Amino acid sequence: MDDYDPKGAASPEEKAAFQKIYSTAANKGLNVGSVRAYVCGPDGDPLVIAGGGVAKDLEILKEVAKKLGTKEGKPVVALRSQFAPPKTEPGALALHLTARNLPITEGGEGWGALPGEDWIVYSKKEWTSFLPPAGASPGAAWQIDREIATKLLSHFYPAVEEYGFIKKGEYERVAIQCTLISKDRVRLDASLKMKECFYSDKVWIAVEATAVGVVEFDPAKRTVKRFVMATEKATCGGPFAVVVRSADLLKRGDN
Amino acid sequence: MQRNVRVILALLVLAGAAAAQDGDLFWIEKRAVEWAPRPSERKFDQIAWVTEARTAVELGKKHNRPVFIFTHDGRMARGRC
Repeated sequence: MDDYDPKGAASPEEKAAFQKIYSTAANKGLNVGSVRAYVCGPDGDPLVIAGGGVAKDLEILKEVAKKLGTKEGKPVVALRSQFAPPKTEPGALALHLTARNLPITEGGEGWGALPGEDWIVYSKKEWTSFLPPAGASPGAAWQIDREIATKLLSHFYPAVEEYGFIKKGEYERVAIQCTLISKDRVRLDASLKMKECFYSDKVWIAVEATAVGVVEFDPAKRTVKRFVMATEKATCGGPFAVVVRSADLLKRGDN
Repeated sequence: MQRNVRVILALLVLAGAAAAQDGDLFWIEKRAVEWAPRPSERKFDQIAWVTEARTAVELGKKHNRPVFIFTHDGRMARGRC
């Protein structure tokens, strides 16, 4: 409900529209809350609260459809990814990060069973630092600026119960070393040791990780063709994995 | 002869180092595929969501369909609580 909090991003009109549904449900004695599934009539009148498990929810939905005489049909809006690449400035590099607990369990329950995802966007000035200095030969090595490294590595944690970054994280070790391994490839070696505060200001979660990656680039154009990275070893309570992959370098900055 | 052996050994060491790096990079590609979100983990996208309650109710009225509103804290679409 973050967007619908008083200081949230939703418009006043949108907040008012949802508040009307919420209040009506509460006045009817329905079990309202911030994490709920409201089944409403076509006019938005809340009828019942779902969320008691798949089987029970399917029953509820079928009953409501039957009661209202709803006819089966196609979705009224197009299917689309709910986590599309963000809009960016032209020339920016968007990196998609997936973080998951290990071992991978199909069909598990709870937020830890699914991967967490983030988009990290580097400006041209930032991603250029992953390319070798002009005239560099294979074997040349350099360190990425700590702030640029933190922008990526601070997202190296699995799905946990969180309310966002409640406090500024404590970063004991945040480093990405680049090594030019051929005329058009840079190897990345990353190291991370941090604490983040996600859920309560009294609970800090410790994370340690090492990762390797590669940046493929066009030496003539000085552009990144591909960026990929994966953890070799990572712990956050238990083991977890991270993989980072570049979206196509966005030219127009819209999606 | 000894110099030739040393040169050959140096070349073998460099070749080994390159192979280890290539081995690492192959490993990265393999992991990038294994650890990426699977279709079974993106079932959320199989539902045609709209992101505002007002839009949902407008569509409900227009198409005479009940409206399902899911509220939560966090960012469901990207698995962050």
